Amino acid sequence: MGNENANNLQNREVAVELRNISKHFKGVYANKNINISLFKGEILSILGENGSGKTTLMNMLSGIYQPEEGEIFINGEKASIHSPRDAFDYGIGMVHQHFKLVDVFTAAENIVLGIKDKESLKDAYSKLTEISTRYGFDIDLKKKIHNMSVSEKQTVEIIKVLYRNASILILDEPTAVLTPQEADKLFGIIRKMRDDGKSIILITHKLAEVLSVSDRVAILRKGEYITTLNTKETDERELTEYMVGKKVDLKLERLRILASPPVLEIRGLNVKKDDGTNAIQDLSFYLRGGQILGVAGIAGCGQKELCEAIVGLRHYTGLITHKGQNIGGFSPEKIKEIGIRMSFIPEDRLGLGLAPNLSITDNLLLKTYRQNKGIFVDRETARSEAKELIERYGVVTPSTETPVKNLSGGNIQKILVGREIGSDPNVIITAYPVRGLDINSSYMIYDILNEEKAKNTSILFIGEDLDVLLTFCDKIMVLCEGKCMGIVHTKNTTKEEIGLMMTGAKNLVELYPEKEQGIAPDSLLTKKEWKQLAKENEKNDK
Amino acid sequence: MTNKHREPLFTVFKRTSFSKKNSILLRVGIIAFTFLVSMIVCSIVIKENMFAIIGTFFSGAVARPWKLILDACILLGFGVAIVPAFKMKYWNMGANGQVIMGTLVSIVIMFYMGNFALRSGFNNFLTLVLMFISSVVVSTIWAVIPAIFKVFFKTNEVLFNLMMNYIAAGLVAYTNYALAKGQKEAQDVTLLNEGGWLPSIVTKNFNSNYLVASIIIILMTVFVFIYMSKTKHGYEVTVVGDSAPTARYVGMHTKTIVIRTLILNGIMCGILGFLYASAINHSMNPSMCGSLGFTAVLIAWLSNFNPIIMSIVSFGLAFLTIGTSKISSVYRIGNNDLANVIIGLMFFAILISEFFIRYQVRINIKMLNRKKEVEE
Repeated sequence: MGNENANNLQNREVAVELRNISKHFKGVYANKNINISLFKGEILSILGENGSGKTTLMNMLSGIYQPEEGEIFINGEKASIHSPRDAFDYGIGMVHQHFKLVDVFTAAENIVLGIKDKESLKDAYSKLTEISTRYGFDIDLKKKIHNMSVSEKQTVEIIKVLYRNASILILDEPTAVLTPQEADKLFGIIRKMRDDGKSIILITHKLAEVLSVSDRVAILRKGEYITTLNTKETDERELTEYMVGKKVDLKLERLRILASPPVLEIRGLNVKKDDGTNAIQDLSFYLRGGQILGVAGIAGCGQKELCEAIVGLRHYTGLITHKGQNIGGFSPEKIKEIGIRMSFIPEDRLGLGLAPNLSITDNLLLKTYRQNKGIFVDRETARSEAKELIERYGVVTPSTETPVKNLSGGNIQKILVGREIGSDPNVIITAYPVRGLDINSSYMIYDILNEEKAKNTSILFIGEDLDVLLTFCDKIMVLCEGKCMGIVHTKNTTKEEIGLMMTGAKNLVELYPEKEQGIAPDSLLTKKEWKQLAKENEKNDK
Repeated sequence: MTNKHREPLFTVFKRTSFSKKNSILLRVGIIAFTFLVSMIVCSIVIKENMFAIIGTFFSGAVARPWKLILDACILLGFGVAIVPAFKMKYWNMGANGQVIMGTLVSIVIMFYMGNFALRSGFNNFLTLVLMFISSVVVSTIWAVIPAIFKVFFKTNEVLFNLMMNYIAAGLVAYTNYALAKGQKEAQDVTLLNEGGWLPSIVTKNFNSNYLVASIIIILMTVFVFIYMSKTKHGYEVTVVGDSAPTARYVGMHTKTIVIRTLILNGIMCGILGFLYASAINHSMNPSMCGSLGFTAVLIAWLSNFNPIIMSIVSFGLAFLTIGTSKISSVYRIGNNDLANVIIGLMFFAILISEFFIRYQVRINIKMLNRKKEVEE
């Protein structure tokens, strides 16, 4: 195999070489003269901020887009990739950020779907079992996709690619949807694949991941190729500088603020999931003004349902009081009517927080359109608000009238957070607000939340990165299968302790029953009043 | 390796940029081309000079301008009536049934109150008001029933509305029979007099009944345009259509919004039904709307639910319909099949142009050559 990479000092075989690749959309370069090579049996990270062209570049390699200029060499030969099928023929498989699976099919059916050579499902099973054991996948091939967790779905996608004999795997932000534990497991699998001779490209913007998993890292900035480094010879600071283009000093800090009396007090909350099973069981906690309460837990153990119940989108039993006033069973509208300024930044940004096909202006209107008197909506005010928001948070968009679904993930989140903060809330409920965002956007969101905290706002922060939760929040409530495992001050705990609580191995509620977890000592209501409220609630339910 | 990687002959790409001007040019071009082709086909079938046929087409279309405008307005009326519901992603396939139910009650009132109405202008006015209100109420009920079932019992509105169409047609057929029993000519009921007709402004050249009806529908169009783009209600409809969970999240009552919108839809269908009885047909039969309720869906969709574009599309379609039926009658083709074929071709052309506006097709010349080599 001819090795055409003159710069290759390590004299290793090149699996993929991208030469002077360019691609532009509507006159804007998404990729400009990119030169990257991938060796056989290595893990190469492609690092870059949101919108730096990582995904576009990989989409060209996997046949979704065609480059306008430049050439792609696979195993030393010039390749023309016109469709994902061509890419498969070259042994390239991509696992996208958004999974492309048929919900009502089983894992195995999804994997063999679209393969032309008629192979019976039975033969497929033996091959699939072989793949699973070789790389250590833990998956039930007969399980239907709609019963699967996100991490299981991702596993199916990866096996699908391996089953098609891919030797070059591209993983687009694979850990964006995983818990730390799941991510670690995935990295183990990736390393095994590398040792098996496969070449892996990891698209990411998480520096810790880059440093711990990959052999080399290629950095893109604003569509241009910056450099490629050996991960062993670099550190977080250097990578950030290359990525952002200037020296940055990002620090996550916990603001010290004198917390005020409880604002939101929640007792004995029970919430059900859509399928009728228990999501949250007998949960009690409280939020103070000027305090951030983090919620840690494995994905899908009731966080979503908890948020929806508090803001009035989901039925629940139990008591929720706001400054001593019972708001049990109130709809979002009613909560707003009685003057509670509650903001909710949901996990599902385009499905719940925003209307994807509507413009930025119209999405800002969602919260305020009722305020205008008369039958008409006031788009002019909303438009100027949109302009302000775009300027203040540095949203990258062609205009205020662009549908939000056309924006990148970070910009979408800025619109959502900007709108929610703009309504001057005194309670903020936020679920995974930085999921899928790059460093700059993430820190911007943290800064905004800290600013709100300084204004004496109560914040419930559902998070996934334990390091962030431990440095950013004042207290952490740990959930395990919908039950509270304890509420701890971040300064008195460790990552290990929280990890143990997340899996249910340590339960502070059972360990110290005399310490009433989640009951404010300075509650605004007396025990008698709480009892009375509970009685009223029971009556109403009947 | 080279043999393994067969490249496809055609590759379809999503267009990343396409200017508005180009897309209009493309549309007009494809439509003109299809029109030309269909005229050539006509001239082959009829064995007549193509230019003579084209002449017949245009002179036929503009021969009765008020009829042309009315036909365009009726199409437009059906279109705008369903726009709010469709924008909400509520697929109202029952516009036909909703309109003929409105006509049904109006005709019944005209049948029984015709003599009363003729006595004075005021009486006629009272009759018209009564017809209008009852048509609107009945059409609204017809439109809201499936909506209530959808909202509270999660039934499918498409099937439900299609069934409602059949029921409405059945009711019209029965009422026709029942009313016509005493009359000599059986089939359809014949109104005995002009009681309950919309007033005429008599001049030489046109039937003014058509004009009043057309103006009412144009006003309806303007209303829908403002309602959808400027009012809070229209805004809520758009949000519910785009993402119902988001609407709930910001505290909108989605159930109320769905039913409210279908009431509006029903009112507009009721107005159309009233116009059919008082100005357009003065009679009824189960198939009087043809498939307008479905054509309207196509028009609304092609116009991206924009009432202004819908006006243009409706006018074009009405022009085409009248022109082609003129060809049929002048050259004695007998029925309207040729006209229908041409209209079908035109719709097909519009759909094709939509495809080429969104996608770009690249032909792989290398593969073409290779195919030739293999064949040789």
